[in-house]
Amino acid sequence: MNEAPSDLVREMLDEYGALVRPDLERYLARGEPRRYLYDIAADYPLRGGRMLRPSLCIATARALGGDAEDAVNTAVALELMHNAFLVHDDVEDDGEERRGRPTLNALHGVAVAVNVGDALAVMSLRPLIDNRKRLGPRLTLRVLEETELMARESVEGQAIELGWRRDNAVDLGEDDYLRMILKKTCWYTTIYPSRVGALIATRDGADLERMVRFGFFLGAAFQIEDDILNLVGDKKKYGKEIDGDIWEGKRTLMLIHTMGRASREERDRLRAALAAPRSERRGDDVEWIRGLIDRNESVQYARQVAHGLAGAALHEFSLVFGDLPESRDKRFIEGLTTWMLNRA
Amino acid sequence: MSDDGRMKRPKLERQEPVRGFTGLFGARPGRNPFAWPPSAPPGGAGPEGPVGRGVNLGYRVIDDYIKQGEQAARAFQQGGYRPETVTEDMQAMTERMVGYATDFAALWVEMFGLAAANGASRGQSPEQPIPPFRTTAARPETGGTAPDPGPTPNTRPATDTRPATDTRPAAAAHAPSPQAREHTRVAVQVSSAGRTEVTLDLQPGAHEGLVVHDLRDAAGDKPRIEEITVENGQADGRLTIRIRVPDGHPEGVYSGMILDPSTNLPKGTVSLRVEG
Repeated sequence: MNEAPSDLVREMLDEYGALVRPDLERYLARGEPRRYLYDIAADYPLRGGRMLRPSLCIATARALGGDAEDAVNTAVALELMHNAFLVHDDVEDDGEERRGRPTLNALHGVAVAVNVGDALAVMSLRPLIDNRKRLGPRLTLRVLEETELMARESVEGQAIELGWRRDNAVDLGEDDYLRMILKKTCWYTTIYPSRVGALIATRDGADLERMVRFGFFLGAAFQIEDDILNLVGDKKKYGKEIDGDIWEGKRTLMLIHTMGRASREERDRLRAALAAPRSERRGDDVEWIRGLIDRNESVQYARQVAHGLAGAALHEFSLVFGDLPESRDKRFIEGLTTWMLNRA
Repeated sequence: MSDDGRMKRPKLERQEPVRGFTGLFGARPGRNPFAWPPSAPPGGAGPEGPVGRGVNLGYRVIDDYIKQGEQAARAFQQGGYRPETVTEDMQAMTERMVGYATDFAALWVEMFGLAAANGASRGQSPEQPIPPFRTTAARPETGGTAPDPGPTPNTRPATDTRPATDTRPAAAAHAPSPQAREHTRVAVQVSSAGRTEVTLDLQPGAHEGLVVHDLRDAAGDKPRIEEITVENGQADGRLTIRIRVPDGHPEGVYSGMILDPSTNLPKGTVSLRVEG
């Protein structure tokens, strides 16, 4: 009998996480200077994550008839790069908690954290270079090209979000938000893992455009749910501070929805409250913004949008994977569409 | 039990046949059994609700994104762009693509040479062969002509999804275009006193006025193979690459880029293994 999708997703995240972790630890460089670099660089990866991105990469490769081992190095590189992004995100956001513990910038200061983020990004190159031994030079170069594209999309998305905050943008639409998360989140969370998994399995013979659509809808649902959890999640499970996005002035779908519904006076106050940097933002402002979001039922609204996007992801899944033979990997990828919404 | 004490069948909840599609497979009448997700909060369905609005917006955003990538790739693939027809952004983007192409060309040659030296000149892993490259071994006698490998396979995806900001050369290679779907007929002639092996990688449809750089070894410490020409057959459209290896040329693997001189972009690679 088939397992429930959510059980299968959890099981396979554990399974592929266990496959990737030994190599991840192997590629985390050691030696000197340990105290100022390598021990700190290993901190976030060893705190443990869900291994969603590596698992999606490996599962896509396998669903398309590839070998899991062929995708492991790329999956490891992705996880290292993800951790590099997290370190820098925490610096940029002045974040306080990550995976249930203080952020690296909080523990070691901004300068050390920035350098550690750089180191993790550099470390992510080695497994991609080592792909040559298993995939051959041509496919290795294609994976590198995909990785460069993904990294560039991600930093462009991050730049847009940081720019909005710097310029205190309040006239944003939901389409602006979707365009931003397409780049900031979807590319490296879901589009790249799917594309590169397909690339490896088919030896560069797959139509990767469909992966962009599927990955976009899946990743968008993931990001909106993540933003929702930041407001209403269980802090222990979520691992980050609740309401942290409001403190950081992030333009989430909920905030954009609230801005669109706010009265003129409320918008003026919102603009003033969001203009301050995090260190100067006042608790009562955060509380007021949170109340405004609640009054406008923006969390419920965002949740419905996330459901719609996950439905679209399921539709795109059927177009991309529908004709493939049944497999656990195929069911895992399908199951992610609902798991994204219920992972609190 | 009825009032008169006799056993009677309970009154059925349904008094008429189910004719609606949405009542099939045990779903409650009035509810679409295929509606997704089953746990979606009420009130959001319908094209004007948050669910429909989110999906419509999502498709609009991703379609625009893909369209931009296709436009950029198509403009690039067509061998140039007309500044008056593209936006400033597009011009800047295309210029950057040319820059990236040059950077990647060097890497490409290096990797190709390395692969050939490792005996993996077809871009294959030892365990799992892949067929993107055509490799032919020329006969050792002078004037040996490698068999026509036939149409160059299109190993790229049919469409490309890169955004307008994409600056990589691969974006062009991946773009769909009528040219890209044409096949290229190629012949390779090698004149050599010793045994040689040729590896050719050429993008489909890219065969107008190409030039080939001198073939050189990866380390750069051996003499180059400079006598290499490309001819475009007028009648049959076949591309002929002629290589002459000087007598006594050191053994090794020599590689060179195939370029489109109008854009200075790489269109492929030719690699030659000279055996002792």
